Amino acid sequence: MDGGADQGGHDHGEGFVDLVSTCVGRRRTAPVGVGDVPREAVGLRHTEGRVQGLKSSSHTGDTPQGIGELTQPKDLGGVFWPGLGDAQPMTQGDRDDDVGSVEERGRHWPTLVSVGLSATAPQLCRHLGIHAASDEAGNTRAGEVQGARVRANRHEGGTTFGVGRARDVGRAHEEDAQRLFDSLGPDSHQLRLTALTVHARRFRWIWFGQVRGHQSAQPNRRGPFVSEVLRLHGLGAVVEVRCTGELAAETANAMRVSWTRCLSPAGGGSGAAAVEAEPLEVRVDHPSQLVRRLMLTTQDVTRSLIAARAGELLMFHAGAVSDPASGRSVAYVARGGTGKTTMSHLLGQRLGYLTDEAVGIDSSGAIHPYPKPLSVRRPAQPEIKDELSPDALGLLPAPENPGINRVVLLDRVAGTAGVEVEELAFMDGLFGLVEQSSALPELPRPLHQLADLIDGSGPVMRVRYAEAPDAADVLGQLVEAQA
Amino acid sequence: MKIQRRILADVLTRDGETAVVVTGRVVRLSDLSALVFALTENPVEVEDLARALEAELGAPEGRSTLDATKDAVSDLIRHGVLRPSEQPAQ
Repeated sequence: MDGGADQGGHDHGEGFVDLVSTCVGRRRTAPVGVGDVPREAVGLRHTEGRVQGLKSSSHTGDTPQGIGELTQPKDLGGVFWPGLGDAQPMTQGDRDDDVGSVEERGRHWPTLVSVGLSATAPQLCRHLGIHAASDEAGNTRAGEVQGARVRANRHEGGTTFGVGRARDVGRAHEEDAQRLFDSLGPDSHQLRLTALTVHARRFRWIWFGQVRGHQSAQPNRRGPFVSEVLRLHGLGAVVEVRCTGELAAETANAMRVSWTRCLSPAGGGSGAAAVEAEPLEVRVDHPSQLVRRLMLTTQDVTRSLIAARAGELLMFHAGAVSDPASGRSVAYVARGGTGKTTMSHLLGQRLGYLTDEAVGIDSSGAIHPYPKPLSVRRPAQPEIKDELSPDALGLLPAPENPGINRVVLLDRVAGTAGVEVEELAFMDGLFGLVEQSSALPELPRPLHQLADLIDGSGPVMRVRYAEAPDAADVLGQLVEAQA
Repeated sequence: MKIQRRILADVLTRDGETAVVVTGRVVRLSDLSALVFALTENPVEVEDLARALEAELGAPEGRSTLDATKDAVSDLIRHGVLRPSEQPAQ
């Protein structure tokens, strides 16, 4: 019989992955039963109630060379694992019309993997580029593309779909797995697709697929290997963010919306020479985790981009906006909670939004934008910030070549009447910037670079205020004011 | 004891004030510390330094110039700006 959740009530899903992982990882013991499968086993074979490790599939005739044996094996339902390492390619000893019993198949196809599916085998075959003709019963015959060999067998309760080991299944990788999943549509029941990389001598990829039948109460599970990848640009660097977990797609979609201006190199100040930042992974398995995880990811992205540009840019804990026509910009430096995000929201309605968190300025005075989502605190839950898209807030886009015109230190003091503006003495201004700088000592001659910034943009100004709207007008005027 | 200033990553003097980068930190030197820094380009005995400081700034009130100099030197050694001259420069 063929394995899978549709047959005999055995849920082989989790166990299947565990077994495969075990085998691929060449662990000594498989969890399907008690026993010991040697490390040198290239696969497992289940026949006539026995599970043996396969020394090699280069056997002839009907007798594989088994090594080791599992006693008390569970009912595997005819699940087999691909051979690895020295195993012979499936084209040897091929019997194309052999889609009969598992036992028969097992004797000649130690490298066949069969799992239970719903009726999506033709879709899967087409998607993998494997051409297979169906007979009247809906069974597909062997197809072969690039050495991949497929068996699909429709049976009561579902379809068995198997992908054989092949020398090279093209350049399949996780994005292919994702496209495969996406192509199945709402009628594909629940799909869990696990793609494993096997860097054995002859093999690139081995695919395992299982579609649970409609009887299954399991939620749609993608497994740990299906992920979505975003590349976020900012400060002239780019960071790869991999979304994983049960809600990988939802996480990625949410990030695509809120990070829309950082998805392109132009938006994030990057070009062909964008610096690669340390990649990140975001895992969300439950809806209750999503908002917090998105908030923390924003912080992680910021840290990663800053680290990537350490030693190259003057970077401050600051917001910045820019005149859309001239590119002249004001950076407002401040500690957390002072109102940078609120100021950016206000100013961005009429000036180009560069960032609400981290400003990066190079030695020429050019600003490398970081138009991240605005992180807005929830009044009822101050420990949580929502990551809001600049597009959704109506903020103007950054101009092409923003340059620093003025640097301001924000000083929010409750009870301040109106706005107090003061030009700071040189060292006072310098140390005000130092206190809110990132990675300053990693720059060559950092104090001189700060001095050049101040000399070029004018004395640092301190703007003291109680409410952001009061100060926004002052800051807006500084965008165009002569230094 | 002879003391000398360390070779620092950056030193900026502007409008009579001095800022330095030492051990990954930016330190703002007081008027006295900035003068000590300026006078210790080469190794100098603490007593000689004290005399030079008194000549420049006058004697401190309520304590000896030497004691005030020793306190300033200790402070700057602790911050990594100065070193006993027998130690490496960096």
